[in-house]
Amino acid sequence: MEAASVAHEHHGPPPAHRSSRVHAPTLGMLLFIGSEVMIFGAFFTAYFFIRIVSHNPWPAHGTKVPEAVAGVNTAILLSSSLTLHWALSSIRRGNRFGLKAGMVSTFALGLTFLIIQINEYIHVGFAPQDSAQATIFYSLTGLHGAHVFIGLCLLAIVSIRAFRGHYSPEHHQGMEVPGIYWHFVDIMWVIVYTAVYVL
Amino acid sequence: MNPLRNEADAFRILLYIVGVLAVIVAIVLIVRAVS
Repeated sequence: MEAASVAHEHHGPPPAHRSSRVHAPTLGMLLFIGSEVMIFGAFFTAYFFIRIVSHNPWPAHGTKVPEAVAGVNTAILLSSSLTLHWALSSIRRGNRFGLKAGMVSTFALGLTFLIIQINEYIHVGFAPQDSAQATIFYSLTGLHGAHVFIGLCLLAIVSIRAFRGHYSPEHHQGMEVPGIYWHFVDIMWVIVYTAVYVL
Repeated sequence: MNPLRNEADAFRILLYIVGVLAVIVAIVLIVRAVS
């Protein structure tokens, strides 16, 4: 009788079956990042084929990649990971000012990175169709730039939610998942920067 | 440590990768300078 009354009180569809012990949004991000690694892997395969297998000079003759500007940009992007970590550490301690300041700083640094990247494209002095090296330069950095743009959209949503009073020390999963994505974007940039600009 | 479990672990992995790449770049630049 008691079991029947409990069953009767339940409203709506039954909870979805979950075959994984991993939190569903985190599992989704895990699978997404797995696919992203494969996409970047395909682009890096083209890069290494052009540079190592075909023995093409890097960059192409008569061109130059602005490693100093990109180095500053790398520092800016790494700083954005630091401020994002600060924001999340703050909300874990219940510090809402740290959360808001950290998110605004992270967004501003990410946006600065993207603007500098666009400015670099304007002044770099070669176009994607000029050579195979130019094509893969724009492809790799452009693919990463697209990821930064998506990350900025996620950061904007998190920032707006933070200013509207969302998130607490107990409930901040909505920040954890975009945070993992943003750190992944930074990791990919460090690898792209090392391969394209430094080595 | 699982970088995809939470943000803190992902941040730690980022720092490790930056460190490893810095060492790789230093080794490559030293080898280039010597040879």
